[in-house]
Amino acid sequence: MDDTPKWQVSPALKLSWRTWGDDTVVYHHGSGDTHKLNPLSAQALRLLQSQPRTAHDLTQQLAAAIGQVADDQLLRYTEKLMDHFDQLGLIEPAA
Amino acid sequence: MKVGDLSVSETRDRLMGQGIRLRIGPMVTQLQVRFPNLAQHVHFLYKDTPFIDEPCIVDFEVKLAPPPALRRWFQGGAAIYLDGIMNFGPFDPAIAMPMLEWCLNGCVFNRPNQYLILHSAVIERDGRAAILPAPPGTGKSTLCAAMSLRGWRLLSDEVAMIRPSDKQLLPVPRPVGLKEGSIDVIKRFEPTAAVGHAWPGTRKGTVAHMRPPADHVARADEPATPAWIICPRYEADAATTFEPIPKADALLYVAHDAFNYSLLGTTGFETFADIVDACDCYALVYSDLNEAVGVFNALTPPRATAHPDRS
Repeated sequence: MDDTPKWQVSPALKLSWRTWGDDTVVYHHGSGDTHKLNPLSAQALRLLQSQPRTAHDLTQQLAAAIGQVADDQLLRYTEKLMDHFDQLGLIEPAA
Repeated sequence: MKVGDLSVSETRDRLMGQGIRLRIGPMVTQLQVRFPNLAQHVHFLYKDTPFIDEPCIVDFEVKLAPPPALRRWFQGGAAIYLDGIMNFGPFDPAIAMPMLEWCLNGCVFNRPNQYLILHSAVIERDGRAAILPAPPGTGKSTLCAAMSLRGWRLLSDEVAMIRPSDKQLLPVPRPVGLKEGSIDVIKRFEPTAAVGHAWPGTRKGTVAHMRPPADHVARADEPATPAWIICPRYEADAATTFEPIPKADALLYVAHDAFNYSLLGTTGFETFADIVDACDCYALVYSDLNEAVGVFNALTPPRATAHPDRS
């Protein structure tokens, strides 16, 4: 059984979104904070909102979205991004 | 009736007694002032402001009065009570008038949570409003005082009061606070400006207030539609620059400077996002008031933009 942790946007805490060009702004109803995201970060957060994912899974999804190989560099970027989302309270470990 | 329909001595009698119920935009403030020498200043600054004589629902009860004897002896001879509770002070009665104005600002900043409240000046022309969000000390009051003397209607120098249901800006026309050098700047800019007494020794230095033009106060029931968000910054000797800013940055800016954005939750976000979407957004740096006025007078209605993704 794969015990790699999965992460998700808490189903109990709604996110509201607006996108203008490359800029996305997301409002987190749990914290009351507003965050500006670049296109890749916004895509990552939307993917984590759609279902729980591991860092590896999210990297694969992002790689497909941007038409690149899911290499170690992208994995490290994804892990750093997820860590940042966690610090902001945007995501949590899936049960 | 307007305060100016009363004589100074009638104003004094009312302020010393049951108070005057000032109607400022959508709010009613019952004002009592227990310092008879301040009546002439209240009368001057609120000359064009309507008041309500008959009993009515009051939003704020504000009383400027001496504090209890021991605190008066120890800390200062004046205090401001909001709804019966000491809210400001005690402080030196010599700065009572600017303290009263700050307290009245505080009432509007912190209480009416049926509106989205942004720390910003707001001016309007032809039904379209410019929202000027900026922290203290960036010259927004000076700029909006000048604009109000050059054909733009003053909605407020301190607060954008936004009705979430229709995203309209409600006027709150009160005296415009001017600090230090700005007092003479406005007097030179427009010698007929109704600038009141200058009060030295406040935490912001010398402070005076400009009475809003009478016709602006008379139009306090006319809301305005947001058209531009312009973040102003005064810089001594700077050349005037006026640059577009990304809408996402404008949204973060107003969210940061709002008093009750997080409190209103989804309503706060959706309201600001809709307003940012509808407005053209700029940053203005200026040192010359006439050049800044020229920038505003050259504004054109916002461009229609593709509807943003709001999924």
